[in-house]
Amino acid sequence: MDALTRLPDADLLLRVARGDREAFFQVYDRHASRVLALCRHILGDSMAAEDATQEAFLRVWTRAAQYDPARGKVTTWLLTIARRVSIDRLRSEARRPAPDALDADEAWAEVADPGSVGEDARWHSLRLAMEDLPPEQRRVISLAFYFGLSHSQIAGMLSTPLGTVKTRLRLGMRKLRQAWSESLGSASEPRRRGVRLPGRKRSA
Amino acid sequence: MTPRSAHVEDELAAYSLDALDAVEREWVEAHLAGCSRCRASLAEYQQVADGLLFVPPPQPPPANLRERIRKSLPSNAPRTVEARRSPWVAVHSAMTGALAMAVVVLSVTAWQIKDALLRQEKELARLEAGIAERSRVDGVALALLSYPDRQVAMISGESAYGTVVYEPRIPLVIMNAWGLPELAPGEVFQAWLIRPDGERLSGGLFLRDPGTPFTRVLLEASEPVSNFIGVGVTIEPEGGSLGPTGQQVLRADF
Repeated sequence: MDALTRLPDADLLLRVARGDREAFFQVYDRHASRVLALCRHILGDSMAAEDATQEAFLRVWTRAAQYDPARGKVTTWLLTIARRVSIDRLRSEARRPAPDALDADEAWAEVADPGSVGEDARWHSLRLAMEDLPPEQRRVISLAFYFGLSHSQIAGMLSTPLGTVKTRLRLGMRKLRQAWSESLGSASEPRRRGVRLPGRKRSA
Repeated sequence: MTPRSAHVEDELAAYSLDALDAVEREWVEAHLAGCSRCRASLAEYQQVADGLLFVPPPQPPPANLRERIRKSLPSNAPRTVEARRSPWVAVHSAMTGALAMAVVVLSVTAWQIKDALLRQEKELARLEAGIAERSRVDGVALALLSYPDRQVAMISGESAYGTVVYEPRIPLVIMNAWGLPELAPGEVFQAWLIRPDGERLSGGLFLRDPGTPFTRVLLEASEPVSNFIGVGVTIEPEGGSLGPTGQQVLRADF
């Protein structure tokens, strides 16, 4: 058990592919909190998120042999599975995200964890950058990525012209890309940020 | 190159989020295949999209979730994808004399059966690929028709005729052709996209569709159709030609 805790994710997954339950639960213990958070973010409901997390980890158990380290980190693979499972559940239940809920301040205004370093700090900067986007840009990015909608579906859902949706998505993603590349330089010393005031409006 | 790259660049953010509709996705993928600059740019957007997976702050799962998963885990080991070696090699080397002879006869029979099965499998795979390709082309045709700026042009030749459907900003043309002539063995139809200066770019090779009274083909250009003034079809030797060399069977002006 002790040896397992020191193994990198990719080695654990090799063992999972051979049916090693201890290795599987090591992966679970390391990453279930992220998987659950993503499922919860997409499905919005704790019960549904736990069901989706369970389904995602069962897929990890049966498909561990398909993981290809050349194509990315284990966590990215795991969260991609969780995203797919959650979006499929949204679709099969014909549930639609409530657009008003997407940019509710509480969904994005959690306070910084200034102690985080390395990759955590980069994800955190991305989170702050997402929080800083004008709500209409954040909304189209959320609908596309977390809810699996194409931009013409988003246009229909928000009753907004397709061109406007495309522009918002593009501008928002450009800002996130900028924030992401800047965070590479400052990943070791994350900036401390003020807490966003609820209801503060931003211009497009 | 520049305006085209800039245009696809505009779609890369949406592509990385999987937000493009089918026709646009095909168009972006066709462009990416030949443009390293856009591939590099996509890689940056892809990192952002991957990063978005990590944006929701971690939430400790309830203790009973681990237990629920433990109970629902199938008891058998997961299937792995290791390839199995053929058992024939080991068996054959271990035998001598008449027994070996018998095994050779058996294995030849087995080989013949395997060969026949393999051929059937290939034929099935070919048919399946044909069906998949046809449904892909039909899907693109439907999607293209849904665009408000789609255009339809008549296409005609000596015996053949039909229509082409396109959207000037998209590098795809759907061609529906009736009455295409019989080809001799070793010949194919080759489609051409015609530039204003007369230069012809290959739009792909195809054969007559034996399953339908007409042949529907998806021509894939490397740039938006608005850069071309028309489309043509000629008969070319198998493998296609760099420029039209054979008889023209269809021609349309956009």
